[in-house]
Amino acid sequence: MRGTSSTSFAEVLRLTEAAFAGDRTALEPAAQELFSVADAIDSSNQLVRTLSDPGRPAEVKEATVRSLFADRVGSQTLEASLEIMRRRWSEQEDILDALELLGVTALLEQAQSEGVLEQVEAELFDVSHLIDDSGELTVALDGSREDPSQRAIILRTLLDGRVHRLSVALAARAVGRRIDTKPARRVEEFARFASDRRRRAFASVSSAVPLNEAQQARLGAVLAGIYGREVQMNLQVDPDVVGGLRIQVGDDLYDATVLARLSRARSQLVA
Amino acid sequence: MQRKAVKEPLQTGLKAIDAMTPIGRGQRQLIIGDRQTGKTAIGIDTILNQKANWESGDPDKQVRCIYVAVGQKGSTIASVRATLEENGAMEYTTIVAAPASDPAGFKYIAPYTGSAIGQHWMYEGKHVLIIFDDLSKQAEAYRAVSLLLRRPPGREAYPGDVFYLHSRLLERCAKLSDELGGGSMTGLPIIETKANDVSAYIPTNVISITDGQCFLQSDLFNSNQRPAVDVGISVSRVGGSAQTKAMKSVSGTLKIDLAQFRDLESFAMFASDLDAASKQQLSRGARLMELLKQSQYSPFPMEEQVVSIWAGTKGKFDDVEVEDVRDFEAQLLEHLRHNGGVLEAIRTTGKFESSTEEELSSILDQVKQDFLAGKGQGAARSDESGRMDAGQIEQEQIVRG
Repeated sequence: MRGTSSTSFAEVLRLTEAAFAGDRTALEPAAQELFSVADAIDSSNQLVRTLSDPGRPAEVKEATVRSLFADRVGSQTLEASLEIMRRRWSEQEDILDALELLGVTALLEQAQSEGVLEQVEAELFDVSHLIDDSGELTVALDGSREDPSQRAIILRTLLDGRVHRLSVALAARAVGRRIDTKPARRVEEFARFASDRRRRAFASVSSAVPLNEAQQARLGAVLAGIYGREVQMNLQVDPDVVGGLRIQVGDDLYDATVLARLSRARSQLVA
Repeated sequence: MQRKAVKEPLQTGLKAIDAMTPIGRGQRQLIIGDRQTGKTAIGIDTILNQKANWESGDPDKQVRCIYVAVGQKGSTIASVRATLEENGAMEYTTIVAAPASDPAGFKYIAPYTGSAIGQHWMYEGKHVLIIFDDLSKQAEAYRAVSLLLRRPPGREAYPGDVFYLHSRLLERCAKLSDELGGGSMTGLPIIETKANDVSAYIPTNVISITDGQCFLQSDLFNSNQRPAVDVGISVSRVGGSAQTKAMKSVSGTLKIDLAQFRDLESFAMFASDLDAASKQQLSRGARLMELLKQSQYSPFPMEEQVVSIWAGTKGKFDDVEVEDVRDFEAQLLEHLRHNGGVLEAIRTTGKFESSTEEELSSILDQVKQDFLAGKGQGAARSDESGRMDAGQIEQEQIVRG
C-alpha cells in the first residue's frame, strides 16, 4: 500500500493492535471473521465501490458495514472494520488488503502469545519455497478462473499436522483469495509481514552499565507509549558506548550514547 | 495505401473468443469488464497461445508480444512475468511496466512506449500483439496531469483531449500493405468498468475507437462461466473475414443457438412445462455454454477448437451429462491426437471437408460409447466378466527333484 493508504493502515493497525492486546481471548475467531468480511465485500463489486469511494461520507459507509455485519461478527471485528471505513484509501482494493492484514495481525498476535511467532514466520517462508519448488503445486494453486476455496483445501490437506496450526491458517488464507498475485508470493508477503512485526516487537537496548529495575520499567513504559503496545527488551551491556542508551526497534534507531555524540562531533569538526 | 484489410487470424486459444468474436492480425479488440472478471487472464492466455507459432520459426506465423502494465501493483506485474516465464513465453514477450508507484507521467507515456516498440517491428514486416493493461488507469493518470496543468476539466473531470489520447494510441495498430512489408500490430486494450456500466465516458470512447469488444460480465464469472465473455454484446467488426474456413464453417450457427438459448432460458424461468423442442434447445444451450468454459493457461489450438465447436453445435454432446461435457471433450481430443488424421487435416488445409467430418463422426461415436459405458450410462459393456472354474485353470507344478 502506498501514500494515503499506508498512513491510514498504520493508524488502523495501531488502534487494532491495542484492541487485540486488551482482549486476547478470541483472536483466532476474530481473524476468521475479518477474512470473511473481506471476502463478503470482495464478492460484490458494488460493495467494494461503495465502501472505498472517497467521495462518500464516512457515516454512510459505517452504516452500511453495521447493517451488514453488526449481528454477524464479534465486536472486535466490527470495530476494526468500522475503523477501516472511516479512513481514506488511495486504491479501492486497499480496504480489502487492510481487512486481510488485520486478520493476519490477529493470528500473529495469537502466535506471539503462544510464543511461536518465530516458528510461524519460518514455516511460512518454507511453505512459499515449497510451492515454488513444486511445479505441480504451483499449477494447482494458480489460475484466476479456478475456485480459490479449493486451493485452500489442497494446502490444508498438505500441511495439516506438519506445521503449526496458525501457519496452516495463514498459508490457507494466502492462497484462498482470488487475486492476480502468485500464491507463493502471497505466502511470502505474509511471512515478511510477520518478520517485520517480530522485529518491531523487540527492542535491543545497549548501555555501558546494566540498567536497574526502575530504569527498565521506565524505559518499558516510554517504548510502550511510542509503539502503543508492550515492547520486549533485549538488554545488552556494551562498555564501548561509554554512556547513554542505544535503542533499536525494527527500523527505528534511537542513539543517545556518548559514543554517537563523539562521532557526530568528529564528523562536524572534519567538515 | 499504407494499410490493408485485416485477413489473417490471430488465435487467442479461447473457444469463446475464437469461435464467436474472432480477432484478426492488425485489429484492435477491446477487452472490457468490471474488476475481478478475468480481463488480464484473457491477455495472458493470448500471449501463451503464440508459443506454438514462435516455435514454428516461420516469420509469417511468429507474433512478438508486448505487455504494457499501467498502474498495477508491482507484485501483480511480477506475477504476470513469472507466469510468462514458467510457460516459456518470455522469449518473445516484452513487458513495459509503469506500476502504481510510478509518477503519473510515466503511466501516461508507457502505452506509447510499448506501441513504439511494436511499430518498430511492424515496419520490419513482423507481426506484433500489444496488450494495454489497462487504459482506464492511463486516462486517470492523464487526468491528474491535466488538472495539475490547469487545463479545463470536462466530463468526469477528464480533459477535452482524452479521446485523442486513446485514438492516437490505438490508431497505431494496423495491418500494413505488402509494399511496406505486410507487418501487423494487433491491439488488445483493456478497460475496467464500474458496475458493468459500458456507457461511462472512457468505455464509450474506446468502444468507438476499437474494431469490436469482448465484454466480461461479473454475473457470468460468479456463476462459474469462465472466461466470462458475454457473447450477446461482444462483437468483432472485422475479425470474421480473418477466421479460418474450418472455424467459420462450424461456428456459423453457434452465436444464433446461444442467443436463442438465452432468450428461452429467461422465459423458461416462469414456465413450468415446456414442449420437447424447447427442452431440447435448453439442454443443447447448456452444453454449449459448458463447452465454452476453459481453465486458465490452457489455450486450445485451432483444429481442436473446430472439433469441439462442431461436436457441440451438431448436438453430439446432447446425450452426455452437462457436468461431463468437458471430461468427454478432453477424452475425445486426446483420442484424436493419437488416432486418425482429422486434426492433421484441419491444421494443414485450414478447411473442414465433408470427408473429415465423416471420419470424425465415426471416431466420436466410438469414443462416446466407451465414455458412456465407463460412466455407467447408455449401452452395457460388451466385454463379459465371470469366474473361471477350477478345471479351466492350468497351472504348472514345480516339484522338487
